[in-house]
Amino acid sequence: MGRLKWAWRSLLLVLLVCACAQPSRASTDALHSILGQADLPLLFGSETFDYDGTEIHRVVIPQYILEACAEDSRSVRPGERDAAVEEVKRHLNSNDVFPNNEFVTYTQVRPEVVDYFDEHLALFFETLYRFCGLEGKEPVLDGITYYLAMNLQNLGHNLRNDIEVAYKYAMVQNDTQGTILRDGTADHIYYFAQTDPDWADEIFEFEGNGATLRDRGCGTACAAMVFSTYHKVEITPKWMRHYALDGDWQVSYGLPNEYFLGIAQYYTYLETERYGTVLQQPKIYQKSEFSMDTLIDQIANQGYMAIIHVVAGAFTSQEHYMVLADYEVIDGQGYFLVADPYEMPERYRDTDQMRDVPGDNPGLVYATPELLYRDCKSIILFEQDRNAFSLCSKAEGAERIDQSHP
Amino acid sequence: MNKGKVNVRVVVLVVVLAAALVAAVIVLMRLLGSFQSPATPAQNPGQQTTDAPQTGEPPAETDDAAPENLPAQSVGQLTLYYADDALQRVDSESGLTTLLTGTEQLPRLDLQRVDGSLQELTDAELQRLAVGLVQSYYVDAPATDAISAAADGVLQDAWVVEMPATDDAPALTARVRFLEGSDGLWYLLLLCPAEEQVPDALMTAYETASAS
Repeated sequence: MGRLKWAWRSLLLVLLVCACAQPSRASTDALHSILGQADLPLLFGSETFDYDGTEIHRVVIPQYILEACAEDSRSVRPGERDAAVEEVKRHLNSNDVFPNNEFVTYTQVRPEVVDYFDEHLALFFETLYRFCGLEGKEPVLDGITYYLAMNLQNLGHNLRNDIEVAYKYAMVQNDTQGTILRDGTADHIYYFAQTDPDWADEIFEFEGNGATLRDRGCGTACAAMVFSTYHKVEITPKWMRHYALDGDWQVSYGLPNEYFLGIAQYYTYLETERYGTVLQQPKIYQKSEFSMDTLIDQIANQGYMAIIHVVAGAFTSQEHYMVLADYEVIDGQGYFLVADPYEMPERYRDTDQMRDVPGDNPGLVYATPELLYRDCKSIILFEQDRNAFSLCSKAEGAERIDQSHP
Repeated sequence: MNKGKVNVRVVVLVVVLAAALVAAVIVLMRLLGSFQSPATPAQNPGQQTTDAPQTGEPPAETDDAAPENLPAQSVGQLTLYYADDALQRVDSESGLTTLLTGTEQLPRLDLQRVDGSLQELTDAELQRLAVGLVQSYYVDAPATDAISAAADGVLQDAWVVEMPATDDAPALTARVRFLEGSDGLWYLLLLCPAEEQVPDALMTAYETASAS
C-alpha cells in the first residue's frame, strides 16, 4: 500500500509539471502579437538599398523575429533533401498564395525534386537576404530563412514584384536561368522535351491521326523553350499546345512555321506588367535567305535565339524543330548548342559533327553549323537579346515582413 | 484473489505512469526545442529589476487630478493633458497618434491601441515588449542585449529604455507606458535624444495620461 501511495503522488507531480508548462508559450504568442500590431514609423536607417544602380526598398525584419528565429535549430544546405524544403517550395509555388509571382517554378516542384534544395532556391534565398540587409549570408534553410519564405505573402504586391524581378535579374547576371532537371541539377537553359512524361501523351492529332505531343509536339516544345527564355517564366508545352489547338494550327508533320509568328504575337506582352519585357515578332528565313556566318554572330554575340526547321537527315527521319540556344567554340571548332525536344540521341547520324554537352540532359547536343545548315529547311529567328533584362522597382516604401500589406 | 487484484492495480499504475512520463518528456522537449520566445535581454550592471520599487513603497498611482490650466485631450479612451498650441497632433489611418512639439520627428510621443491585455504578460515580458516597441523605429535595430531597460519606478507599468547610438541614429531615451482602458490595451512611447531634455508639454502629456 505504501508503494502505491508513492506511485500515485509521483503521477500527480508529473501531471502538475505538464500543466504548468503550457502558459509560457501562450504569453510568448501574446508578446509577438502585440509587437506585430505596433505601427510605429521607421525613423532610423535607410529604407532603400542600391542594387546595381537601382534604388530598391527594403524588407524589414523586426528584432524580435530575428531573435525568435535564432532559436530555431534547423539548417538545410543546398544539395540536401528535407521535408522543410518541400514545404517551402510548395508554399512559394502556390498559385493560391502567390497568383502573380513565380518564386519557385513547375520544374522545381516535380515529385523527384520537390524536397531537393536546388541552386535556383539558393539564389532566391540570396535575393531575399539582399532585401533584408543580410547580403553576404550563405544560402541555408534556417529559422530566419524559413520565416521569410513562409511569410512572404505579408508583403505588398509591389514589393513582392520587386523581389521577383531582382531574383530573375540575378539569374540572368549569373547565367543560370532555366529549368531544373528531374535529378535536381540545372541546365542553365530553359529546356522542355516533347517526350516528357508530364505531357507526352496529350493528344495533338491532325485529321484524327491520333498523334500526341510525343509524336508531333516538337514545335510546341521549341516555342515553350524560346518563350520561357525571353519572358523569364516557365511556359510548358501544354500552354503552347492549347494555343495550337485553339487556332487549329496543326499540319501533318506537326506545326507550320507561321504558328510561331501567331503565338509570338499572342504572347507579346505576357510579362510586360511584371518584368517590363516585350517579345518582338520573330522572322522566318528560308534556307537561301540567310547565312550561317551571320547567324553565328547573331546568336553568339547579340543574344538572338532561333528555331531551326530540319528535314530528314542527322537528327530526324521526317521533319523536326529544334532550338539553337547558343554558340560556342570548343577546341577550335564552332558549335551551336542545340536543344532537341525529342530526347533520343541514339537516333542521330553524322555524329562526327556533333559533340556531347556536359551534364545529364539527353536533349542537349553541340552540332556544327555545317551539319545544321545541310539539314536546314528554314529558321524562325528571334531578333532580340535573350539576356536583356532590367532591374526595376515598384514598391513605394520599406515594409515589415511581420505585418500584412496590400 | 487479493494478490490478483493487487497485480492488476500495479500493472495499470505502471502503464499510466509510463504514459505520463512520455507526455512530460514531450512537453519538456517543446520548452527546450525550436521557436521559443526571444532571449531575455542581457542585464546591464546596475539595471534595476521590475519586481519591486527600490524604496519598498508601492508605485505611485496615476495622478487622476487634471494638471492646472491644461485642457484634457482625448485619444480613444485615453485622456492626456496639454495645451492646444503646445503640441501638434497627427492621427494616422492605422490608429497611431503622434504628438510633436514642432516639425521635427524628435522628440515625440506615440500612442496606439493594440489587441492584448496586461494580464497575459509577466513583468519581464512587458519589459521585453517595451524594448521591442522602441526597436520598431529602426530598419535594423540594435540587438536586444545592447539595450538597457529599467522599470520607471514612479509610474506603474512603465519602463525607461536606453538605446545606444548607431550609424543611423543618436543615443535615445524612450519612456514606455502601458494603460488598459475599456477599449483595450494602449502603449505610450515618449522618444527623445538622450542628450536632450524632454519638452515639458510632452512629459506632462505622457505622465498624466490615464485610461477610462
